[in-house]
Amino acid sequence: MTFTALWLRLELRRRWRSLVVLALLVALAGTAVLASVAGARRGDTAVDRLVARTSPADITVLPNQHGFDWDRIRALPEVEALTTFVISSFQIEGVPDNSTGFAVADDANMRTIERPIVLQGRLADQARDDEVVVSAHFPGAFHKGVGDYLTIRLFTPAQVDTYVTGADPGAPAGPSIRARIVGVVRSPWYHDNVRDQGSVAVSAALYLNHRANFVGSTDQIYLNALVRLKGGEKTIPEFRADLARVSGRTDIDIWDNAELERHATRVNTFEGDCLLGFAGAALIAALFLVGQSVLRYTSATVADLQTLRGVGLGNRQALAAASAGPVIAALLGSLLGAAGAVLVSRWMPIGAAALYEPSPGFDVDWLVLGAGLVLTPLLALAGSVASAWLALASAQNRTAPRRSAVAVATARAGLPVPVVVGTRFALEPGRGRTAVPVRPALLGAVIGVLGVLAAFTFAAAVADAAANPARFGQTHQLESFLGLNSTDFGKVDPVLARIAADPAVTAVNNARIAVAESGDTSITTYTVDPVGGKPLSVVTVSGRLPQAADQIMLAPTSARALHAEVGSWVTLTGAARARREFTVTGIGFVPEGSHNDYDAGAWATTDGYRALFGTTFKFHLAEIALRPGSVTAAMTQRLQHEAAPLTGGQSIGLQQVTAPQQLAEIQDVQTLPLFLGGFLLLLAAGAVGHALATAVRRRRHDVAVLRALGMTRRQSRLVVVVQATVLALVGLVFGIPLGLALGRTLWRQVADSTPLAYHPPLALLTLLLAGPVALLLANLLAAWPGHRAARLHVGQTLRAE
Amino acid sequence: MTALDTPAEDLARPAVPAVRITGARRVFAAELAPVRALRGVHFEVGPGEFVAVMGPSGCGKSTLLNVIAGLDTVDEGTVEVAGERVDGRDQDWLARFRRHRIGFVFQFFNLLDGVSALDNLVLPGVLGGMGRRAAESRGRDLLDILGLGDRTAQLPSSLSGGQRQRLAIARALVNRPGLLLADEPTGALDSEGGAEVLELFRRLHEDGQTIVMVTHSPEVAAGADRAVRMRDGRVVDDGATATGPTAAGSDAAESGAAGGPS
Repeated sequence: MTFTALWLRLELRRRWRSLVVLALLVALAGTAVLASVAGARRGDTAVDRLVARTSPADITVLPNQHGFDWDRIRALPEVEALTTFVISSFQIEGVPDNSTGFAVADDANMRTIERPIVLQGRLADQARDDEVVVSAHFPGAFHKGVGDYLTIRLFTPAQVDTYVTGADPGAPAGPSIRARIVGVVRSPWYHDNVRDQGSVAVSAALYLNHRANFVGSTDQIYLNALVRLKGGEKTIPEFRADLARVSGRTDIDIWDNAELERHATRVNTFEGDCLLGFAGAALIAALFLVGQSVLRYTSATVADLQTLRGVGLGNRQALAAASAGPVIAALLGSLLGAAGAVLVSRWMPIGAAALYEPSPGFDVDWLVLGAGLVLTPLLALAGSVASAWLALASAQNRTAPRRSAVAVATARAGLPVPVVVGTRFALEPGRGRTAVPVRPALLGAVIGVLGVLAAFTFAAAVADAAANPARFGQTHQLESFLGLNSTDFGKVDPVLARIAADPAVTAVNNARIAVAESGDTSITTYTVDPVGGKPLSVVTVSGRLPQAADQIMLAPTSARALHAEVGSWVTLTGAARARREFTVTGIGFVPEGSHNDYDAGAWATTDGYRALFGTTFKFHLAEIALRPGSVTAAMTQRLQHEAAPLTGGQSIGLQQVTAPQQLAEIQDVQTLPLFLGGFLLLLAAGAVGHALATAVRRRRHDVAVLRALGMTRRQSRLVVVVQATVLALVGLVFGIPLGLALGRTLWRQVADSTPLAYHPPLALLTLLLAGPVALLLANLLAAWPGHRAARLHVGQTLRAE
Repeated sequence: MTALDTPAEDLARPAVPAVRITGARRVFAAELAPVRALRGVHFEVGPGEFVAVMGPSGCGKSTLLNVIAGLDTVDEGTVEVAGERVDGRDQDWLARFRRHRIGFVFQFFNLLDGVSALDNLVLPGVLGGMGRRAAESRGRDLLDILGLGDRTAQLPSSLSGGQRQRLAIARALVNRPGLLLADEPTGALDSEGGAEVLELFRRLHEDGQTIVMVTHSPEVAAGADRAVRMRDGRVVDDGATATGPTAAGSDAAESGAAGGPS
């Protein structure tokens, strides 16, 4: 121990710079790994932590019925809290409609239910209509934060009455209220989605003080509600039964908000997995880079200590002395790394999880940091002892070094000397003073190509999904809102027939939509009703569309909820307690609607729909598909013009189908694999560059001998070029198929969990460029070592050796 | 004709000195003061001669050998090998020149550690323009002649010191160079190994090979025709060795051989 301490003192005095560099490397690697792991853990639990702190609604209940008696629902034994919101609109100057949110109709909101986290400022006084709060994205998107004012414009009661008929009410002509933003908040209901601009949450007083401006003169506007159940999600069946009992309706749509939270958690978990993948890559890079440094350090120390072995230094003493420096550096580095991870936590979690994080800002994950603080020095100790042991063993090793069959084959094939030697340098590690770690270089090259291929394959899949709404089942480009609550806005059939007759229209589906129930699951059911012999193309996962009244196709999430597959029988309850059994003929996507995602719902024939709902519907929509290449805006105008004579000159409502939210979520994570791919590429460049530089340095003797035998400078440079090329080729041969497979596997996981229709992605351009770029990069990396090999001073090198 | 035979084209050359150095100076930069390794050396070696260069450590012997081989350059003066100026040439020209004209034997062998004995000979053969098979054939012949025929597949590290040096000599002879340079070829060997190597050199010399050998040892130098003594970067004595057979060198010179056997 005394000797180790004495040796360490000497080492600290003469090699402190090396130890400081080693400590900084450990710190950098520690920061990357610890911050990533802590960030992944934080993101993974963000939704749960937000839910635990905000008393969120378990369900959203949507009777869509004016005059619905919410007091009776509030009194049900399962209900812990309930707040209602108004299905009519108002406007805020400078803020688009999708950021204005709903007006709440009572002061339970943000008090007994959906009590948000206050990120900045305070909650609004629910008794004051001139106070609002906003979500986290809002200040950035609209440059208005706490203390700023917004102007709320309400419709007149007459305008609201117009709105009920489906007609355009025009600009709000009712009262204006100048409201102050008093806080920035977050809860499951008041959170931002990826790419959202944020939203405004008005106080209950806005509705309560200006009720007529929301419900109109005929009181036709209805209220829906957020409900928190005493028993949580698992008491939904009891609540559903009581709801049916007190309301007399079995077709009331109930959203299970936990399903939304689970979806968010799935997205966060995927992002967290990407982050963990990054942490893993960073760990590998750290083991490689720091390991190399430790190896170099201990090898040099062992070489020094060899002289003391002659005067009685034992193996254990040598190991302890050689390891002491790296362990001290690792201790210091791990402390700095932990501090760095805390600093980086300011930007964690990343992606969608950040939108649910209840405590943004700095965070200390004691478990991760503690593990890092303990494991890093232990890892350094193990690494330095192992490398010192190897260095000691290497000094006594007399076995022949490993030969590469490929290198031997190149020699046997009579290839030029630089090719033979370069191949040998790339594939044979050598021994003793000429030893070069070829396996990390080969592995690094493979991982680099693999990472880039996987990342770009994944990115190609995301780009494909972004360009093809059909991947999300959306095969139509336009939608026409034709009716609401069993009442059409006009004569529908001749209008749809005229639209279907347009040569640029490839499909029109006349969809009546209502919500059926099966147990505690709501199934938004669409009719398959082609117009003009132009059926809508439905994206199926398996099976086919229904063709008879007792057949149904379920969307994937609904099928999962009902534990159904093709051939299963399911029982659905429609309007007026009509119960019907259906055989599942297929699993496929449905149009995304206001009450359903594209992966939840069902397709039924018109007869099957009628058996459940009679002639009633919640919504009446037409899905319209256009010929590829059609300009949607121009087609909208043309179809409206064509339909105008049939609607008394009134334009029909046609709107462009928007991409599902899930697409934005996927696009949000698109950068992570690219980031990881870039990191792996850097790792590969580091590994290959290190191998080339080390080979030239450690094998300068061989190069010098060959130069003495007549090898030219150009041939010396060529040796390094061949070495780099061999490494790149190995990377390409193994990395391309593995990268393609990994990218597709990742995408399949995303496709299954999103869900969306899986199409094997192919990053063709990347595949075509991978070879030339990898070879170019390898040769660029070879430029400097090659130059050094060419400039080698043969006489001096051989003399020094 | 054996593997060590002199090629006909070399025999047909006009008689020119195998080595001619005129006023060679070489200074190395050092921390305290510049090291003057060569201070105006004049030196000539006739075709077929076996010359020993002797002198204490640091007298410039190895530098002299290196400038002849083109592994180092002179600051002043001229260096000719077989009538070709090698000073002032670029590295690639020198590399190509070495392939065919010069064989170099190092004190510490400088063999390629990771490749077999045979491949240590094949690589320079291929570099010298031979096909793979021809180089292998030449290598096997040389190994047989030098008593290493049963060691072709072995790595240099598994050979004894004497065997390694014989392998290094075989490598130097692969391309049938006109001039064989040897820097302390017995310095790293025990007496038995040293004797083996010296005997080999004598055989080569008898076959007409021009040899310049640097050595500390008077005993080793005694095997040469002529001993050149250096001190402080200068040639201080140049004469026949006491026991050295001068006839072979003279005969070779008379026959007009610029380069010896291979």
